[in-house]
Amino acid sequence: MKTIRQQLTRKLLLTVGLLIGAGGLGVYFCARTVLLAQFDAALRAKAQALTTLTERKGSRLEIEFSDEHMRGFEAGGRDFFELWQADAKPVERSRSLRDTHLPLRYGTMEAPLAWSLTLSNGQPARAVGLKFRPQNSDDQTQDAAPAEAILVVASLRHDLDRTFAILQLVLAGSGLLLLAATALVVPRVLRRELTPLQRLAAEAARIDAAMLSARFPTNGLPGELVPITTRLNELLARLEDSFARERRFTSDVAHEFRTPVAELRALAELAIKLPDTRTANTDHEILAIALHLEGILNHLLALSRGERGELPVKAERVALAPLVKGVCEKFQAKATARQLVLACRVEATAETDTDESLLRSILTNLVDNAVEYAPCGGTVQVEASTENGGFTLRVVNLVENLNEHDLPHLFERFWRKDAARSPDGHTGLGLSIARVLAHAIGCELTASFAGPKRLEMTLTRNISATIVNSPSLPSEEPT
Amino acid sequence: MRILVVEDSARLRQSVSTWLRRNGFAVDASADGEEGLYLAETNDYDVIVLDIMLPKLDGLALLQRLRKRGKQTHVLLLTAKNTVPDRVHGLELGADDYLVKPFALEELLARVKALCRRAYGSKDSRLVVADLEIDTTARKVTRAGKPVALQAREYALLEYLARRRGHIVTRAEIEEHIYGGEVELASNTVDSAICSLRQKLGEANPAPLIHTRRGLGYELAAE
Repeated sequence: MKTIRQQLTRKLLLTVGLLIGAGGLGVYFCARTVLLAQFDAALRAKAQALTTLTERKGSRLEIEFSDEHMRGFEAGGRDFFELWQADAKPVERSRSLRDTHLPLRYGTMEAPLAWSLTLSNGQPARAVGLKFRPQNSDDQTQDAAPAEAILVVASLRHDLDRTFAILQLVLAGSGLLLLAATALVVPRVLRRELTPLQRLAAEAARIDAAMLSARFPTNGLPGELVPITTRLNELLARLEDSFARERRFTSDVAHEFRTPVAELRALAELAIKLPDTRTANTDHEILAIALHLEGILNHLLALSRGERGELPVKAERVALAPLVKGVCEKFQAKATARQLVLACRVEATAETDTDESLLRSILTNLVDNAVEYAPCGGTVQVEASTENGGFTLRVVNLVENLNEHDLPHLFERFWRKDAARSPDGHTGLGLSIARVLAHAIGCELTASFAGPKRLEMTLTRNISATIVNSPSLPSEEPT
Repeated sequence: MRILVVEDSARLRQSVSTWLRRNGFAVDASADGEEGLYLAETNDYDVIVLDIMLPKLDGLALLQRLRKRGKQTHVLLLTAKNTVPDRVHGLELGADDYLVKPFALEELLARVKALCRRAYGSKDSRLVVADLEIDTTARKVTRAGKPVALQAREYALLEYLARRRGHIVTRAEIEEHIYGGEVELASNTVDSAICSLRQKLGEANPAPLIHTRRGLGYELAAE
């Protein structure tokens, strides 16, 4: 597995290596150019000196050369020269050349030609060649002799090449040392600087589904890691919340099924072990349990289908007044039995485009909840109005044991204020389904307090909302 | 043995109560936590079968209050909550056993019996008094090696006397533990049951085992 540290180390070393190489080459070639220029300048100076010693005497060229004054040109010396007439006829050469000749190459007096060469004895040398006009001796006329001469001066370049070699060695050695130092220092620096990242990785590796309450520390982190850590912490918080919700849901499902199954099992066991305890009512009880279980299953399936958006929604023109009044009439008897006033207020001409069946299911759920849980003797208000093509439905009633903290939980599956499941036939899924249905017809279903202990359930649809494909309710089961 | 069943599901409460009664226990039943706590505090039960999710007062709060007030009645938690933290929490609050719904009635009975044995400081399911031997698991009674056939209520009375062997058991205690919850109890019910029991035990061996301590009550002991 590649790590950031390894990749950074490798790339940094490669970059530093390239920079050192390029820098070393640059330094080497600059120094080489300068040294060669100095060497050539020295050669030119020698050539200059020799040109001043060269004279034209009649038709001959003569060079007033003395080994004593220019020791390098003596036999076995390190300097060489050869003089030609302009027609390439050799005139003079240094004793150091013995039987060999220098190549005849030249430039002008102002810009002599300089080049490297290998002497016939195999030794490397550097030469300067130029064509010049020798001085006339006093007793000669200006135009009686050859006009120009060619002079090539060379020197062995052993010392120069040694200097180049030393320079190469020093530069290469320095480069390698620098590279080695970089290779030593870079990983350590990276290790130290990447410690927060490693700590973060270690923390992340420790976190599993059972440790979702853990959070990454943000103190002392480098600026680049702070937003990452903050986002990770937010993600963990969301995951923790989601896991808690799922655990609660699983636990609720288990509880919802465990109790009726326990009832069923106890009734059946009792009937088998103690047949005389079995009555006609036992069968009714078993049927009631089976129907209750079937209801929970149907609601769970409806929720699941709704959340996947699998059931069709049929939009049509719906008159709100008959729909709302019809639902209220359905619960009138129940409301009367609980001494509740069911007040229904809806505009006679109110109409909207929606799925009538789903809207009826949602309203049925809300009104049934209100009639079921409002304290006896109170009022349940059901209102409907339209505005700008949208509509609003409100169900308002008094509640005794709900508070602001309960509102976010009202739409959770199986949530009930009282942990004990009262035998009222409710499954705790009605409002969850109502919200899914509301979403399917492009509505928003919310709960709020319109006053002290006055719970207001509001279904709103703005004209801009669109109806999405979603479920229909299997049966009208309130929470 | 007297049992209190606190369970909000009417069907389950009725089934469990019937099952326990038919197995010789005196059973009181309650549908909510507040009434359950009142009954538990005002009566002397051998075991309380307690649901956790109850209306008015949940089972764990009931248990906590009971223990805080010094009641050491053995409690069997009967609940749909089956996670390890739920069980640990229940046991830490003072429950003696835990049974998850759904459950087998036989298992419930076995656990209730085990708690009854603990209530009387015995781990052995066999009770022996002289030549009388009671197998509380099989609910079989033998005397002098001969089987003695008893009705459920008679068996419950004999087992209660055997668990209290060496002690005098008052008529009120018998009424409470064997006939608890029965509103119309005739004044001679206990005497009749004792008489019937003596007769059945005497058929196997005429030596008296149940002795009347005048003005005090009854005692099961070899003379």
